Amino acid sequence: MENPSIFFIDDEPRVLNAVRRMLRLSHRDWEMHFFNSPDQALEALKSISPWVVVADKHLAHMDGVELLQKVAEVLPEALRILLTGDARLNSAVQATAAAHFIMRKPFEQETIENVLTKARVLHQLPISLHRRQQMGQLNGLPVLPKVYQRITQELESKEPDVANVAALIREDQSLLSKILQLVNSPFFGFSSRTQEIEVAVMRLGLETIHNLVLIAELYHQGPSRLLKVGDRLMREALLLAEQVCVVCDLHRVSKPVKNLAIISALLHNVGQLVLELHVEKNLAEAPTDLHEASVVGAYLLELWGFDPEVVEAVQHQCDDELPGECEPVSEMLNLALKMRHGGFDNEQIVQMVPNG
Amino acid sequence: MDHRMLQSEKLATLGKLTSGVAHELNNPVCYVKTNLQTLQHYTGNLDQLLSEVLELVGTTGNAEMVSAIKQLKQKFDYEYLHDELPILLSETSDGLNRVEEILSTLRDFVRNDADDARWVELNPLIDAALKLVHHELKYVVTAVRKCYGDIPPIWGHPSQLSQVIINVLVNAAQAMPKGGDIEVSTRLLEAENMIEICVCDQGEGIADEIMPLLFEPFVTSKPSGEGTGLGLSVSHQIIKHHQGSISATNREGGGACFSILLPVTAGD
Repeated sequence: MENPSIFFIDDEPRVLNAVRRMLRLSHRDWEMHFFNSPDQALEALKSISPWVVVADKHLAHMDGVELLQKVAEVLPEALRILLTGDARLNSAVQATAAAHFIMRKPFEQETIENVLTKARVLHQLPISLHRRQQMGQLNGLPVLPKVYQRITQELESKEPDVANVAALIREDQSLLSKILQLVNSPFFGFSSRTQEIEVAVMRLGLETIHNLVLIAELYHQGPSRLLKVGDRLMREALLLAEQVCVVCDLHRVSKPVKNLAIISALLHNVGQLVLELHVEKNLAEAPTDLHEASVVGAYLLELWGFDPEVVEAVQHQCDDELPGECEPVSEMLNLALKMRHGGFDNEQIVQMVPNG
Repeated sequence: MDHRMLQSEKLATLGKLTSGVAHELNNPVCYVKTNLQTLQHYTGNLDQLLSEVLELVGTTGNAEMVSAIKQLKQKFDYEYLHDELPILLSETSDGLNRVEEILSTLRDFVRNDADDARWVELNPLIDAALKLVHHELKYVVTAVRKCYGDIPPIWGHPSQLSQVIINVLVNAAQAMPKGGDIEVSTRLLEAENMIEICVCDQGEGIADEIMPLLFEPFVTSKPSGEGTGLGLSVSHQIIKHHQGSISATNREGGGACFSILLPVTAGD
């Protein structure tokens, strides 16, 4: 297997030296390349294919965003990260989709290490280079919706505040109603309905609400002629979520597992969504390969920082046999999907997981 | 006239300067921080290496060696260094975090509000403002008493609103050269559907002749060269822009109270 490698571009040599020292301590197996100038980095891309490219926003001869755009053309499969002192630059970058992530400068050691870990996980997913390149060149979707990013920022603060998250959701009336609809769906199993987003946040927790925001935003993107596709996939996702609940209840799994399984079900066809909406221009083409769509979905969810359980469940959702040592969330989703497509009844499903 | 123009130009230059300084400091802070973390690893490893070598010599070396080691340890003050180094590094790192925090607050403050209006939680916003003016307050203000009510978010420009809070806080501190407390309170006036923010000081109060001109530009009780005379006037403009009002009264027991009223607006 080729060695993991990273490009780091900053016009302050002392920043590069500091990063070199830091990575040498924890990531000695990575091949590291440091550049003062964007041109050197672009030249080196002709012979080296790094997994990760980190560029500072302010470079002497070329803006970091511009550099990453060029990287996206030459090596779309690489993970692109923009370093900036101004963390609120999010929206600007979102528009260009030049970077997968923004890293605030000065950064924490942990932040860089997480990116490298993510790059490794992404690299190991069984997905063709062709698809990776397509994902890396998409404008728009693989970059997360704005509200979702702002809630992420809030959750990453020292003391995330329910009221702030609620206020962010309330800014968009249509998002608010979609979230309340999801929260009040039977699969979350609350006896009373709520119209208060604060109550919803308390009931489900900040993390789950955060995920629901992404779901609500994802299925309603794109030009209106494509909204039908989003609606159809969303309907399928809701039905599968209900099925997953039945399976989870039959196996008496814990509440956290059940919630993760519901999230996995709601996102199970995100790969299909992206392939149909953003990649395959011609909808009349043969239906998307479901196995491939599952891995593409897992790829996106890993990129967006979802729980490893959710990523694994989506990746293996339509495997005939799950790999050994699977998380319960994966088993629940896999069973629920078999149930919807294969017509197993509840009793058979119970027998399929003897220790459930 | 020229003097006034000069002052507002100075203010604008100061803003640019602050933002430039914050930006320029970012790179050095970045590599000092990363290097400091690496240094903590390095010294931890070196210290452990040394302890293990010393232990090895202590258990296997002959009496002569053991005594030589003891002398060396004394010569280089080993025990002290061993205990002191981690503390030194950790305190240095605390200081750097503080610098980073100040830089980040400065950047947030200086960035002019090109960004859209949004829902603003006033209580956390006041807390952030208090943090920012901490250095202005700490020598004169004996205590900041906070009494926050349970208030809904309002629709507004967060950085403009923090600017107002900061102006009023600094004003309160400057009104108390001999020291005193500041009270900050927020509450919901349900009947009026307004939120009231009150900042009260224990200073000398506002002179009668200044009172009617308080929110006029370039009115200041401070000697020329200190204070721009723009703070309260800018605050007034910002609050007016938010469909609110700002007023000041003298308290009976001494000191002044600034009251800011902001409407609780509907979502759209």
